[in-house]
Amino acid sequence: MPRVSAWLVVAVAALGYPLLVLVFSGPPAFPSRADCVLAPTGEGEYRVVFGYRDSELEALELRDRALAVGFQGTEISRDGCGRVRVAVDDIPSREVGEEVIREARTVDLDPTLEQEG
Amino acid sequence: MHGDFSSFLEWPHGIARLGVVLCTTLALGIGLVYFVKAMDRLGDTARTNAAQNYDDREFAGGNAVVVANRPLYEARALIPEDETYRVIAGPGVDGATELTAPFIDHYARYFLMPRRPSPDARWVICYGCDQSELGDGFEVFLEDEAGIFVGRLAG
Amino acid sequence: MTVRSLLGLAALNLFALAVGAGLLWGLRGWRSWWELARLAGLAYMLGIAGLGVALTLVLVAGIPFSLATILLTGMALAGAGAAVAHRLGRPRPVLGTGPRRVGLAGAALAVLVVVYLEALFRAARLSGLYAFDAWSFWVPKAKAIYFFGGLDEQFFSELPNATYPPLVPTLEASAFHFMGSPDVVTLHVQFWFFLAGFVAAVAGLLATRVPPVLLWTFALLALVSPRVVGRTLEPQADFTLDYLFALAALLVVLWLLERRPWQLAGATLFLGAVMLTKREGQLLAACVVAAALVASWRDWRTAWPRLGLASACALALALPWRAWYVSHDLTGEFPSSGGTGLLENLDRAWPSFQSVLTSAFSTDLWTVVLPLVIVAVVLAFIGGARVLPVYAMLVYAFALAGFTWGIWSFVELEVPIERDEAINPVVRLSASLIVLSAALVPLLLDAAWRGADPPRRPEAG
Repeated sequence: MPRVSAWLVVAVAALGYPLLVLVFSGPPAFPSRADCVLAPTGEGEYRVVFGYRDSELEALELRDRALAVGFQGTEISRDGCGRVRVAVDDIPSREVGEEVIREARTVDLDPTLEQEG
Repeated sequence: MHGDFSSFLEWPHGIARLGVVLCTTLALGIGLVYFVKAMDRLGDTARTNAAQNYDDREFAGGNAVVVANRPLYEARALIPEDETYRVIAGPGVDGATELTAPFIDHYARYFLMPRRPSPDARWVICYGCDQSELGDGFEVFLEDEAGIFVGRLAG
Repeated sequence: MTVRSLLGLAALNLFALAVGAGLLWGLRGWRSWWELARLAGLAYMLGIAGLGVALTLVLVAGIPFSLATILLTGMALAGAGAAVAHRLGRPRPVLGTGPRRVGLAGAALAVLVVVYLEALFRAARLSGLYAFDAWSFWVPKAKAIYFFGGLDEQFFSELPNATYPPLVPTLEASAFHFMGSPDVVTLHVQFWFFLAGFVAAVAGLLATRVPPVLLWTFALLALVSPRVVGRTLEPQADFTLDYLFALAALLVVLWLLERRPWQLAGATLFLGAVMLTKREGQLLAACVVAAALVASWRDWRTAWPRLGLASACALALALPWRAWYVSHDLTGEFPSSGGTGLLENLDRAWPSFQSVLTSAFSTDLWTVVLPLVIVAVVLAFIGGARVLPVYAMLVYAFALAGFTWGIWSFVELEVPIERDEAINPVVRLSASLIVLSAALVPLLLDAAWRGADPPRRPEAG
């Protein structure tokens, strides 16, 4: 067998396996904390997120601030990425969520709109 | 590796060569069978790893020890890196495994580094310990429903 | 888990390759760049061993451990190799005539090994830290080196197995520095590099000595052993020890057959690294040296002084760590009943040996590797080889005897050991013999086919 052909066989197979993986399993994932932040896609309910904190103590402070200015239903929960989320869940529509965000910005809070997981 | 077949029956070199052929053939056959098994297993492992959420991947083997992720996450967020802590384990943890009491301090040491464990630390992670033994002035920052506390002694 | 971590790890391993190439240039040089390509795996493993040993000595000396320390140490090693090469007047390499011819069968088998390594990489990339010993002490030691810049007294005295040498934690800490964080998930990929490097090193050394079919068949067989598939990526020292041991043993036997000084010099570095990887590394190193002494008894006047010098140099690399933990009053390196205590526990001898054999010959763990090793040794003897099969037989025999002594001596262990393989200490020990087979069995079978010990090849690396 010509010298180059055998090496080509090895090279083709070496490239073939990752290509097959890409085709059947999709591109490789690089997990990060941002994976738990779900961009609003329009399917299902939303949440208005006042922020993420590393500790529940700090998250409770932010929650209490939000409750104190009238955002009833603000709760803390672990986000699955090592952080604590401070949010109002079960927002029925994007319009409602954006209205909540506008109100929050008037009292020095800076929430974002996310999709519920 | 050339030669007619009858030469494989000659002693000693033919027999040695026959042995090489048989040995290699056996190794190849078994190797191919186990290659398929290995590829299957590695594919499953890769898929399982990719499907895990961030917390589970971060705790991994510790999930068999810690009962809940919250207390150690909270400890890591609250305890400054240049302060010490101690882990006090007792029997009163709901959902504890046989690994929890003997090894929670080991796991905490790994998870909370560079924070240092110290027997007289103010920061305490109480895994089912008797809180009354900590004395007055123990401020609880987190209380997990499993009976795990993270707090700090005053002073 | 991030791209940054992966790129950082890749950079570390390229750096190790460069360091190893410098060492290889000093040890033997290369006639062509294609020859270097063939020996790239060996260069990489020399770099890993060199960095591991040198950085361990740096830590013992109390020099602050940082990214700069790693880079300067590596550059010093490569520079030393270049200086030696310059002194010896090594000629500049030429491009060369391209890679060696590989038949279809050899290519097909190589393909399987390459695809296996790719699948293993996928499994490594997002693996959490599950292994008990990894989070109990191996990775905490690495984190301590990373965070505190040295052998932190508190952590290195309080963590379990305080006397275990720090070569692997040192390399893990180096990985953390290059990744920019103590990313214990991506750390598994470092152990993928170690395995890939080992396979490439063995392939490079044996490519000019054995037919590709033999080389790749037994590499594949060792790699697909269930225990290797399941455990080789764990951030612990077990398999790293096995790769370094196997390379040391391979280089020693090549030296016995070919008497090229660089082979013994390379083996010396690997033996030193073996002894700085785990405490059983001392046992394994002793097995290699003892087997070499016996196998070379016919020309003991030339061989034994060289083997003695190599052993002394390897021991000298390992002694500073010993001095460090003795000076810090750390104990527990040796079993309490390892000496005369054995006589008080004679009833443990046979069950200990049984435990070792059960583990080493377990088809669930290792398929048929060790039985094939025995057959290969016998065939090599029948074929007319002597030095090679004597050496191989003795390495395995001494190792099995040594493992038996170890189990016998640790009276806390109940024998025969019937623990699950996940916590059976003998299983870890046996792995070294399985990994070694990937290197020795092709040589043994080739010798059996040829009807003599492998000839000295002028072009062989």
